[in-house]
Formats: sequence, structure tokens, C-alpha cells
Amino acid sequence: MTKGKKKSKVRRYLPFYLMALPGLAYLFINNYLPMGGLIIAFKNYSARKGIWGSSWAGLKNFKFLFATSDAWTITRNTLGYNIAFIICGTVLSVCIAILLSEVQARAAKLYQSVILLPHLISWVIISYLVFAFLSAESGFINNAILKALGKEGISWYSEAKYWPVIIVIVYLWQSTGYTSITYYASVVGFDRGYYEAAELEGAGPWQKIRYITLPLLRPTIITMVMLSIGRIFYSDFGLFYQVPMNSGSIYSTTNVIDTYVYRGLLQQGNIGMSAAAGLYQSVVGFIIVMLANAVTRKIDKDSAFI
Amino acid sequence: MKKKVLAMLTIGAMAMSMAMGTSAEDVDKLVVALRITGTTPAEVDKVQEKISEITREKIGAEVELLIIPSGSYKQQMTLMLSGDEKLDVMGCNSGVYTTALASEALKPLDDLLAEYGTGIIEAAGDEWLQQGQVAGIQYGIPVIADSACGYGTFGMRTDILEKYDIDVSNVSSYDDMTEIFQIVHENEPDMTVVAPATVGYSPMQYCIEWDKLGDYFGVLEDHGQTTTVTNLFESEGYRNYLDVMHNWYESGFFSKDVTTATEAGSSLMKAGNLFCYFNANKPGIETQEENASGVDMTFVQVLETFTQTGNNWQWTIPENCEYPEKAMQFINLLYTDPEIVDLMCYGIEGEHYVVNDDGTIRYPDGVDATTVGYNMSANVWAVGNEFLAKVWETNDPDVWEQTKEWNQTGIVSKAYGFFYDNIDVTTEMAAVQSVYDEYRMSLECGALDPETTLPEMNEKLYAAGLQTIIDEKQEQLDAWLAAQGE
Repeated sequence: MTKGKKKSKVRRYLPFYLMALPGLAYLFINNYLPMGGLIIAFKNYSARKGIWGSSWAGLKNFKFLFATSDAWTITRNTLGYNIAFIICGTVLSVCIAILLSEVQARAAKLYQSVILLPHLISWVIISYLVFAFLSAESGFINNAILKALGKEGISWYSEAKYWPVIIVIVYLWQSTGYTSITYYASVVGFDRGYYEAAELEGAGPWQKIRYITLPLLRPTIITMVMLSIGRIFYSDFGLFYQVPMNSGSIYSTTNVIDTYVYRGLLQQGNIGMSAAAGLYQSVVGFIIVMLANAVTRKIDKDSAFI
Repeated sequence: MKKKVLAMLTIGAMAMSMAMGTSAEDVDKLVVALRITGTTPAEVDKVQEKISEITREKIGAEVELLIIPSGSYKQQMTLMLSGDEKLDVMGCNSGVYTTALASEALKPLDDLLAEYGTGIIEAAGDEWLQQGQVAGIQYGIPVIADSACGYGTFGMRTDILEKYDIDVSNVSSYDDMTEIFQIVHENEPDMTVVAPATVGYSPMQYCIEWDKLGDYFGVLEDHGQTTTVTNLFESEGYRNYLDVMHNWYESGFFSKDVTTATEAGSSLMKAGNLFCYFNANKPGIETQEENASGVDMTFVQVLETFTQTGNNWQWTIPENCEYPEKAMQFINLLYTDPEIVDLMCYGIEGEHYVVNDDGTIRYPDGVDATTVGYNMSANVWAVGNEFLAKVWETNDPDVWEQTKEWNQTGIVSKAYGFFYDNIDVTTEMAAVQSVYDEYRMSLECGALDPETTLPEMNEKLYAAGLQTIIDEKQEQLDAWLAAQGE
């Protein structure tokens, strides 16, 4: 009896498992299989002896991360930028989504496309667009703005202090159009009845946004922020490698874990140390996600993952 | 039923394609990687087919040339080595070589060389081959080319020099260059006066007055005439170089964007907005650079001609290599077979070059540097035995004789032949390199004031373990010197 019930349950869910299969296979191949490679972080890697034959190195590969202030710098940069992205990005996308929902549908489509466009441009091209603004010799800012104000030109690519602002602006310009789509889709899906009722009661547009749209958007915002926090220890490689033109003197504010690992592997050819930095990224990232989840559960139990 | 048939067909097609894929590999194929200053030639396929015709017969293998622009060469090689990709013969400069050795990615070559490389031994000689040895084991085959390097050489546009009636015959120091640059800068305010030669490198690449012992971290000052390893970044020579560059940067001779430049000096000159770029002097330098920049150039040298250790281009066989015997046989051909050398350097006769009556060669009629399908004349020195190659017509027909003489001139470092192996200090190396990378371009292109930044960099370098590297180098050098004395 119970057996039959179980069987029918399996039968009932089988199509769903099958539907999930390609995704699971992808996840396994892409995210779980390479974990075996983490062993390299603890080895003196030798191409001659192969991964298994190489001698054990203990924690030696991790030492270089902490030999300089590198570990602190890249951790601070990665977290700092991502927190700035999450806060500014969310506020801006929600604003854009609400503004879009307030204008006529046809105009909204046009605006939406225009805002989305930067998301479709490759980082290499964006880096040159930024260079057109920031080039010390022929850049727009130095020549058209600072000169007109009678100020000295700035060599942007060697002054680390400006980059936190530049990176955040470039990121927002590139990504906001895309993230606002999710919010816009939720907003247009809200029951018009609420708004009509509010209008009858004499509510103005500002009040409608404040008391209807934003509260209804809350679950979407929490989910989106949680998703971003899940990737808080990763960084968009193109943004941090291409846009600063790999300029050494601004590493202190542009070097993040991904660029650090890349430079370590490709310029110094040290696989063991790169693997160690990658493992460090994963472990710290994991801890942060768990913490964020715990906090979310306290605020809104339904939105937490675990 | 229909679906089953379709599935069977698909599987059948896959099996067929796999079978075909394997059957095409009857003859062993060697993947040969080498570097080009400039862009990869368009007709590599044609040339490698011609080379393969010869190698099929002589060594029973085909050749696939992987010609990669110098800017991305090191990254590409590191990636191929760590990704376990097929690579049978790899050309290395000292940077690629050191990196590959540290991860034990290169095969020891002693046995292969003795058995299949007799032509190499004959052409190069034991002493020359010593430069490819680490602790007595042969890992690289140094190419036979110019080994002495004329540092502090400037290649200038002749038309500009003539326009302002500048005489360069008495130029002998950085200060003399400053005067020339000043004249050009005043008269051509929109022109960039001077630029580094290579993307991603500072001008220091060619402004060397010390033996860098492989990697700049711990050097022999005074053109390697001492045997005490010291910190380059505290030396007088380096500081003097920085002061000159800072002065030039402040005077507006460098582009303000020099630290993020993405084009080589020769390309900038070709584009028409550069007066001068740094270089290293040697016989035939004019032909080499004029072929790249496309304009008439005048060269002056303000530093000593000098031979340092481990500065050679080398052929190596990576651990990924499938047919090490054939790879060595192919390298052997690069040192003994003029036909292969000419194909590698200049492409196919009659199509990419023609021979003059006096034996020199030139572009065929109606073809020039911009339209030729294959020409590696800027990299002839990196092919193997340079002296087997034909001579380009703008050179003296006896340019190779001049090169042999040239190699006997100038100062030779006391450490010449020594190779520093950093495998025991990789942690310190990575940390020190990452500090250096932060300052390297901005400091050495003159954008930063050495007065304040140099002490700051030194402090960080020592904190990252520079002294450990210097001590390790000194120890290895002492052991090597003792062994030489025996």
C-alpha cells in the first residue's frame, strides 16, 4: 500500500526531475567537478609529476596572500564594491522601474530599450568608452570640462582615490537597465484595483508609490538582494580588469579577488597560489552568505533560503 | 519509430566523424609556438604546409605554426602549459622560461639533445648551450643570434631630424637626448616625442646598466662587473634612470597616457604621431625596425653595449609534448637547414620574397610590408640559427659576419651563463612581483616622482621578502662561480 503510494509519488514528480536534469548536470559538471582541483592549493604543482604526483605543500601557497596586505586589500575591495553595487543598484533600479510604470506603455518600451543597451556592450568596448572620457591626454573630462573650468588635468589612471566612484558609476550605467526589468515586470503585474481604489480615496501619485507600490515590491526586492548577496564575493572580471586598463598604480582600489587570481596565474604562472586564492574566496564567500541568510531570516522568514 | 531512426542516424554520423577525425592524424603533428613583434601573418597556413613538406620527408612529422603577437605571448603560453594543451615546441624569452621552469613544465633535454640534436651541438657549441642549463641540466636550446645588446638606443624619425636640422653624430648621453626632444617638442607640440617599444613594458627594458639575473629582484650592478647581488631599486643607476624619465614625463615628452598604452612604439610611429622610441642596438637594427614602422629611422646609442646572462631566446620542449624525439629533430633542423630557416623567417620564395642577384632578398614587385602574406623579418633572431637565414636587401650582405663580431664587443657580465632558479622562493617571488607591478609602469615611465615613491616601494618590497630572494640568488651565484672556477 505505502509502496504503491511512494511509487505513484515518484511517478508524479518524475517529469519535474527530468526537467531539472539538464540544469543539475550542468551544475555538477561546472560547479562540483572542478572542486577536486582545489587540491592544487595544497600542492607544489609540477607539470612533470601531474596533480596527484606533486608533493604536498601544506599551507605554503596561502602564505603569499598574507605576506603583504594583498589579502586585506582584495577582500575589502570585493566586499566594498559589491555592497555599494547592491545598495545603489537596488535603489536606482526600483526608481527606474516605478518611473517606467508611470509613463505610457509605448514610451516605456523605448526608455527600457535605451537603458538596457549598455548591458549588451562588451566590457572591452566599455573600457574604451571610459578611456575616451578619462584619457589624460585626449580625454573628454580633462579637455572639455576641467580645461573650461580652468583646472589642471588629472591622470585618472594613476590616481587610486577616484576609482571607487568611477567603478560604481560605470557599473550602474552598465547594469541598472537590466536589473530594473525584474522590478518593472512586478510593478506592471500589480492589481490595478488597488490604485483605482486609492484614486477614489483621493491619493496622489506620490502616495500611491509610497503606500501601494513599494510595499508590494518588498518580497521582490528582498529576493533580488539575497541573490546579489549570494554573489557578494565574486566580481565582474571585465569591470575590474578591462575598465581600469590594468593600470598598476590604481591596483589598491581596483584589485579584487578575481583579477588578483588572474594576474597571479597568468603573469606569474603559479597555479598553486591561484588555487589558494580561489579557495580563500570560496570559503569567505560561503561564510558571508550564511551570515546574510541568518540576518534575512530574522527580518523576513519567508524570504530566507535555509 | 521515426525518432529511433533519427537517433541511430545521429549516432552513426557522430561515430563517422570521430573515425574520420582520427584517420587524418596519420602523420605526427608538431605544434610549434613562436612570438612575433607585430601581428600574426595572414598566410601562416601556406608556409606551414611548405615546411611540412620538408619535415614529412626528413623527420616524419608535420608542423603547425602558432605565431602569437608578443604582447600576449607570455599569457598565452602560461595558459597553454597549465591547461595541458597540445604544444610540442615552445619558444621562450627569459620570462616565459622562468615561469615554465617553476612549475616543472619543461622536459629535461640532455638525452634528446645528445641523440637527435647533433646538428645543434655542432652549430652552437657547448659553451653557448650552457646558457640553456639550470644546475647542469639542459632545459632550453638558446638560439644563435646577437647576444650583446646595445642598451639605451633611440630610434628617431629621420625626416623630423632633417626638418629641424638636428645633428645626432655627437649624441652620447641622456642629456643630449633631452636637448633633441626639447627642440622637437617645441616645434611639434602635437606630436608625442618618445614612447616605450613594447606594450606592457617600460622603457627600462632597453635602459639597462646592470645584470638583472633573470628578474630584476637582486641584480649585479656596474654591468655585472661585481659578484655581489644587490637591490636594483636602491642603486644609483636605477635612480638616475628614473630621474631622467620623470624629467621627460614632466616636460611632456611622453604621452600622459603612456602607462596604459596599448600600441607598440613601431605601430605608433607608423600611425604618424611619434618621433622616437626606445630600442636595443645591433647590426641590422635599421632594417628590423624600419620594416615594422614603415618610415626612415636614425639610431643613436647612449649606454654601453653589454651582454647579460639568461637574456636569450630559447627553444624548449614542454611536458605536454607528444613526440619529444621529433620535436628535438625539428629544433635540430632550425639550426642546420637553411631552407626551413628561410621559410620560417621570410615565407615562400617567389611569393613572399624574391632573391636579388647579390643573394639578398626583397619583397616581390607590387608587394610591400602592408600587403605581404608572410614576413617575420623582425624576428629572424628568434628562429634558431640566424646566420643560416638569407639577408634582407636593406642590410649589408655580410650582416651576419658583423653580428658575430658584434657579439665579441661590449662588456660581458661576470655571471654570464648563470641561471637563477627561483623554485625555493616562489612565495616571496609572488608577493614581491605583485608589489613591483603596482609601481612598475608609473614609476619607470616617469609618471611618479621617484623622490617620494621609490622609498615607499622599497619599503613594501622588503616587507614582501625581497631580502630572502637576494640572499637565495647570492647563494646560487656563489655556488655557480665556485663550480666555474674548478
